Amino acid sequence: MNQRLIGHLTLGLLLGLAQFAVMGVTAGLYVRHMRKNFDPIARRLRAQLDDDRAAEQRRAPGRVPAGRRFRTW
Amino acid sequence: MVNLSASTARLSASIADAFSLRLTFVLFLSVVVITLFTALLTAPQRDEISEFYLGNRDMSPLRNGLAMCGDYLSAATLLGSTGLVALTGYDGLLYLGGTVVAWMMVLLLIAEPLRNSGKFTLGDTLARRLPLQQRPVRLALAICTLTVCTLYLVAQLVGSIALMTQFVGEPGPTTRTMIVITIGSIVTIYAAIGGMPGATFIQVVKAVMLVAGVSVVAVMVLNRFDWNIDSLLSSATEGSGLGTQYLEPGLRYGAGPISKIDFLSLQLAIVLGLAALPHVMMRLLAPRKTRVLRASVVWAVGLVGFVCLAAGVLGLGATAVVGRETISDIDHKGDAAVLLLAHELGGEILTAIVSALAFVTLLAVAAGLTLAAASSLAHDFYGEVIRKGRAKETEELGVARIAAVAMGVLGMMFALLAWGTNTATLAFLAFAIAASAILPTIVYSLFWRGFTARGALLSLYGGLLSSVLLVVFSPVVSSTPDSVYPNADFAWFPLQNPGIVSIPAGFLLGWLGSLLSPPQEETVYQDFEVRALIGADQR
Repeated sequence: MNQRLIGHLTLGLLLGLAQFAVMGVTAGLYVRHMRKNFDPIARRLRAQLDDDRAAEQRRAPGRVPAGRRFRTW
Repeated sequence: MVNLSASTARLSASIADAFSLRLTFVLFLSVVVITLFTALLTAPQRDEISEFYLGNRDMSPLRNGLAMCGDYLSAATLLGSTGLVALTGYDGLLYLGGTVVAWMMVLLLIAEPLRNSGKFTLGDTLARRLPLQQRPVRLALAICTLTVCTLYLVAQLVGSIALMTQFVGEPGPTTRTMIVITIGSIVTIYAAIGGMPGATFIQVVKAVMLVAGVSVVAVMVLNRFDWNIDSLLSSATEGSGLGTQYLEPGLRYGAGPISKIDFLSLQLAIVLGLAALPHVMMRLLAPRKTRVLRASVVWAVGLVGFVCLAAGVLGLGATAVVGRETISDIDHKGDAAVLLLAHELGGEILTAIVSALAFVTLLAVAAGLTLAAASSLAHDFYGEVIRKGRAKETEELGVARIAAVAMGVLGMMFALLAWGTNTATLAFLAFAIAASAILPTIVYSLFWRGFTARGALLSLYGGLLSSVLLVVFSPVVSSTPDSVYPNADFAWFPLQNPGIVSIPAGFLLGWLGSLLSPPQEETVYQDFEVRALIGADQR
């Protein structure tokens, strides 16, 4: 850890700096991975979910919501 | 020699002279006036709780990232961490590295599923995950949130007294009371009237000021050493008076195995606790789109990383320019390092700017905490536990405002009672509680199918109790000259930071409680999982 590399820069200090670089790379890779592999699937599933809901609405047009059907008077 | 010691004594009584103090006051006041007016203007007008809890949900990623950065970086980072670097060199730099890693955890693990499955508070996520017993879980969560927020808020207010000490020496009871009440009332007004929009504005202003401030000072330091890092390092080694030991590990945490474990424990709490801090979590729920949230957290990672790097430069620069001896003479924790450095580099004006920055930083973090506690109290405790979900929006909003005031008053009272406590100890305890009580519940509910309400209750209460008890029986409270009760000795737990024991305990209790209770219905978790993955509420 205390080995001098260049001037006063020790191995420990270099590793500490490298940690910042590793974090930057990780964040970049994560964003790229999510954009490429995850987002399209999520978008498709979301669209499917919306379609399902819309179809359900169409199958039962004009149906009064269950809570309002029998009104007491 | 006599002359030198006399001048040091004068310096330790007050770093800055009256001009600097006045300038600080004027700068601080102008920021406060501007942000207060904006908080009033942008305050939620239509009595909608969504606006009060989440603010403007369509902000750009950069602004969200600035607000997150503002919520996270407290005066402790600006003064405490740089002081740590100045006094302990390598160990201080190592500590700075840990604070940035925490954001990676938020980005990679917590942020997106939490936003997708949540609504206003973490309690809403848990209610969706454990719908049958949501009330006891919400109550436990509100208690943990309140504890974390109070501790951290008191840490900020006590920090304001410590900061004032740098100017006028040890403040008398009147000065103390006045500072705490002034800062506390401003914070309460931001939170109670401005709600989230007001808090967001001050966070953004503060983050911009902080980033600009530290980069200006860092550039001045680097310029002084002709942009030569090696000459900065060699001057710092010289200024430390410790030789090469300064840039080697072990100055602070190398005293023995206990000290090393203590450091590990502290880093664990910091890295894991951030994701569970209530005021940071509240920010994660705000963006309307997952895409925006991801970009915001990336901005926050970048900004926090930059500020931490700059803080490292400032700490090394302080030792190189001012000298370690002078810094530790004035304040043995090193909190004065940046102010001394600013005084040396830019005279009274820069000192005033940096100290005004520290006050604004402190104010903004405290406002975020008060708001987080108020939303948890109003939404989880009042809305769902007391009124069982039947509260009207206006009613809940009123309770949220009252809760913010109550929280502010509570914080001020505790700060006045405990004004001598070490700020860092309080803040680290808050991190430890967040990591050992709230984090297991978040992680389990997001990622583990078998998690049940009993597991949630056990890990929330268990993590809270274990971390508080371990601190009570640690050297923080008794047995050493620095502790709260220096004359008593009931410290059988050797570490200052409970994280290394209490975090595994929290996770273990959550696992155990879930195993011991009947399994939950499968469909609930499936619905939750779909929601957490795709975020069904956005177009």
